[in-house]
Amino acid sequence: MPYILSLLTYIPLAAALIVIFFVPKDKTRFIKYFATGVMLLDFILSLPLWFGWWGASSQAKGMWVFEEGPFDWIKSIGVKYHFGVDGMSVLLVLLTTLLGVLAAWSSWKYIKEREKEYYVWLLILQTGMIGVFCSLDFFLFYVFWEVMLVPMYFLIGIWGGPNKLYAAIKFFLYTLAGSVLMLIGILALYFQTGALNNGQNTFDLDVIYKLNLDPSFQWWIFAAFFVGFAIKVPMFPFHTWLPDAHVEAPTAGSVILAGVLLKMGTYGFYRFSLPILPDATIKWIPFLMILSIIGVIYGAMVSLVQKDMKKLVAYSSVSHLGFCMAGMFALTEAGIKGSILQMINHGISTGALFLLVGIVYERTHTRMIKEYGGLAKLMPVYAAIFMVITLSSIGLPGLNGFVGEILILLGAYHMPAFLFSKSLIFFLVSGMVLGAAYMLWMYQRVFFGEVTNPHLEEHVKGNDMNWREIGYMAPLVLLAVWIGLYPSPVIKRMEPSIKTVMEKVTPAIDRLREAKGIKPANNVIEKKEWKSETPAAAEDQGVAAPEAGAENAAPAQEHKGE
Amino acid sequence: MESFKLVMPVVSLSVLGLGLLMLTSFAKVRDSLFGKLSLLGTVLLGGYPVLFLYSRGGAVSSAAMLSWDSLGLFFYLVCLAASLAAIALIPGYFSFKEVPGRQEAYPLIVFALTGMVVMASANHFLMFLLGLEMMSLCFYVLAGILREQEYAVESSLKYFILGVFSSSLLILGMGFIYGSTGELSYARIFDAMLTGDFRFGEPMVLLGFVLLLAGLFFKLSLVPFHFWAPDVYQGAPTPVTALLSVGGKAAALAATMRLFLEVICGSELLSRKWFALFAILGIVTVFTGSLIALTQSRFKRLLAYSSIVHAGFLALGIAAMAGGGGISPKAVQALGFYAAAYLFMNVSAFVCAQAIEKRSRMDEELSSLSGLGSTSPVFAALLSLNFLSLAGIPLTAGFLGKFYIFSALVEQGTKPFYWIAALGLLGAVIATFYYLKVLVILYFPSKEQIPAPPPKMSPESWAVLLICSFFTVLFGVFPGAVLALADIVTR
Amino acid sequence: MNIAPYLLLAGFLFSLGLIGALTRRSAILVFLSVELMLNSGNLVFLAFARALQDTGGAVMVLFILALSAAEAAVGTAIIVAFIRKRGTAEIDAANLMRW
Repeated sequence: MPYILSLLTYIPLAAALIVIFFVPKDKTRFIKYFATGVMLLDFILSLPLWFGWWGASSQAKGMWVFEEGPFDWIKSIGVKYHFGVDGMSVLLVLLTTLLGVLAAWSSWKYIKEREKEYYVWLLILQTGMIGVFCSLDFFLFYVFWEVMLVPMYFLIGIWGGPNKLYAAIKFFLYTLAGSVLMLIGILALYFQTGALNNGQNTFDLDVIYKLNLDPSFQWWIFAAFFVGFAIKVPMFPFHTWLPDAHVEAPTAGSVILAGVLLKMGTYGFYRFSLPILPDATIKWIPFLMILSIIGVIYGAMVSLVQKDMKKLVAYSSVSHLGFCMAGMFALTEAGIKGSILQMINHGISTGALFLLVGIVYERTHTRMIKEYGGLAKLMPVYAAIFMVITLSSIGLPGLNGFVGEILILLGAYHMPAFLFSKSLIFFLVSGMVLGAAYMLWMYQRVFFGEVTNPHLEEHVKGNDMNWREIGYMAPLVLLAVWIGLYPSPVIKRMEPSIKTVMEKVTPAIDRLREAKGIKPANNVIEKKEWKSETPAAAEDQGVAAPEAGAENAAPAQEHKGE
Repeated sequence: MESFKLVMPVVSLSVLGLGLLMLTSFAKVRDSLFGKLSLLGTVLLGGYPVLFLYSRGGAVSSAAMLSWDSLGLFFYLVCLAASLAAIALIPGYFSFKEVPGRQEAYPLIVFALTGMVVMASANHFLMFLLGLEMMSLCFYVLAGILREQEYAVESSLKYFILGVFSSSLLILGMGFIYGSTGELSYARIFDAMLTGDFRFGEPMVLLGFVLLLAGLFFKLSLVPFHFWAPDVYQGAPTPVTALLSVGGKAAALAATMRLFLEVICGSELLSRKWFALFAILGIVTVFTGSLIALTQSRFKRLLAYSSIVHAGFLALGIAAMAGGGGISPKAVQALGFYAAAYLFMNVSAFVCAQAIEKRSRMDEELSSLSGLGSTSPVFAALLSLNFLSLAGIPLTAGFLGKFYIFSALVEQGTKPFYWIAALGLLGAVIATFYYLKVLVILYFPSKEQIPAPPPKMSPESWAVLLICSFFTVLFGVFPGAVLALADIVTR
Repeated sequence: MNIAPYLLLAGFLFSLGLIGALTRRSAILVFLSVELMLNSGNLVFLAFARALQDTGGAVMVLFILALSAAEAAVGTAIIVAFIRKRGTAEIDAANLMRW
């Protein structure tokens, strides 16, 4: 289907305009069905992206797929309308369209005032998010990135919890502050493109990818991008907006925030920082890794002591995203694969957790863990679904979290030692253990034991999840199990694209290695320790493939499984 | 005929002004009719010359001391649009305030427009001074035209005293430049600057330019010459505020740009020196303006500080224009675009300010916007749109304006420019905070706030608001048209 | 011709006007002081025009004189309106708007 990405992007916007102009405010029932229907339509239309993936000719080379344009938009400054996805962003687009349906569907009961505005903003937000993942023009990307703030601001500000104003403004200003610095980085890149493009500067990513930038120049651009993306991710010192926004946002807002918005930061690192600024990325690695580790451990520790379920889930996001960042900046194929997979997983399991918290909140109007206890007896179906999602979040084998985490650990292990110490793995593993601790502890406090709170019984007895709620939880549970058991269709789709990114990064790693005077043999020695029973084979392998980092992780995974 | 062409805009505007003045004195025309008549007259007699001159590709004359080049004509259009908006808004405003008569406001606006146009096109100190004074004198009177209102009279007095003060600085500055170079016309001073042969040495020229620019900074309301702006904006009748915040600023911007393009760039040394001055002033203005604006609780006063912040961005644009040694065409284009964007979003904002005003007051608390998001959704949507544009959110003209300014800064490609761009944009983030404050009041009223009554707007106000908002979006999404115009400016 | 004395006088007038404008409390006196500053500009122009043997500066002076007359007309009108409203010409009475 031609122009499928534009279609996906603008259908929600068109629907929003229809609702604004033609649907009166009191027809709330119609608006609900219409908005959810449009989201569903968007999702169905996005399915060809998945099923038609292998039919597209360019995917195997790791190039843009379903490409549109570039068409001139603002000709005088070389802004182009250029859409397209690669193996990574296609997954995020699919995740976005899916979560869009669930967000609209789950809001039917939760939102009781100003429904028209609510669904309008939800639809506009959808447009912004899909646009971010599809844009292949830096200016276009920036426009979607910023425009998306406005609907989210209203979603938190109008339908949020008691402290919504503070949370909404904090979210808006934090992100804006980051993105204006990013804008300077974008502009600095923009003015480098003239030489490659007949003297006309351009924001087109195809041209920007060809740039060969001076490392010290890269360093500054990376700094500018870092602020913008790290706030969005959020990485450790920039994360303070996240708990506020998550806790105050309405359920659907939290789902989208966790499921999609946070991915925009990691996506930015993957799409822009790694391929355009490989030398700077490598220089920043120790810093980035330390921040990621702090994020992992700190997020988990803070989650442990939370009294509010939603806040606990919010802080767990900081920890999970720390994982994603660590995987990505391991700069090995396995690491990036794991990182991307973990982004999807986080979207699924954290989105599901927010939905689940929302489900009991609608019944009891409290999220305090101590108010609960013994819920398993009162809501058995709910308890079962919550269990599956909890286990997926902590990375139990057989569920999606496990695959992502194991790939990240593998990637971290293969990371060249001169970039960052291998002790990284120790911290990541301890983050996983802590993750299991806070999630299971919460589960225990909420679901097991005796029912201590008399109100709880009154509100939820015989009021287990209804079909609508089961309906919108089901896809997420199914996805969690599916990715856990059979992740290869997902991983295969991203493989060629990751190779393309690695082609940019690997030379930079080699340059640094040469500059430091380290021989590739360094890796071989470490390999020997690992595969101590077959030293000769490892030696051979090491010599044959000096870039241990770029090695395919699949055989290693098998080894681990033995 | 050739010489007539060169003064035609001035003549036709003056004729219009004098005619309207005669009409107020000798004929009894109903207020509403008079307003329509003035609007029509300004469209025809103000619009015709600019079309005529554009079609002829402009004209430059040293004898008439006016250059109708693309810079002059572009800013002519901006000032004309601002004046038309003010003329369209005034009848509704005066009848709401129950001040019948006061028809002298229309000729005064026309004369102010003449002054702005002359100021933007002057290529000689004499003409520049005349234009400036013509504009300012009309503004002093217009600010106090509601002489029953204490606020209006007070704002008029403050504006007058500080305005005359600034003109005296400006005149002294011109005197020093004249003494050093022996010339008054821009082209000749440029030549003198090129040779660098100054009668009393460089310090005196520098002093002259500093004094001259100080006078212009006053009109642009750059910190530390901004003290008049909040008081005057707050106390003056709202359509007049709209005019002097957009038209006055655009004319001052055009004059400053022309000074750079035609005089200061003659000496590379000087133009480098100005870079630091404008960059520092710009940053200081952006930060001071936004930080004070955070504390404001009144709508027009908030808009006054917002306009100070925008003046700061303009100063950054001038820094980008002058900084690289030569003149950066990109920055010239950016400034032109910014002026056009600022015209639309600011006029819209002032239409909204006018709509919520009460009969006996000149300025309202922000709380009189509370809850309008649900009670008057269209009004609130348009106001938020323009405020998002002022804040610089993409898909609005305001964003592209900022974008062009900062891209002109980054284009210079050296570290100081990057830092200035970064600082300026961080200031813009602070500025966003108070624009959001208004959105908060519109859409998220707290429980204890009483919902404000819906705003009262005349059909003319709706028309102005809708047209301006339309352009705010159009220029934000498809800036090609304005850019093409602003591109001509660079020629 | 030695123009230093004229420039010094102009500087003196300017400073005098500046001090007056900043310290006087009556609006009329402030206005007069500002006019004094304006006239120091005139003197500068005249002195230079004489030294340069150039009529341009002298013409400027004529126009500036006309302008200051217009300013005086507008200014007194505004001050009168102010006195009518507040009953005083004290600048300090203009205190409705601050910050």
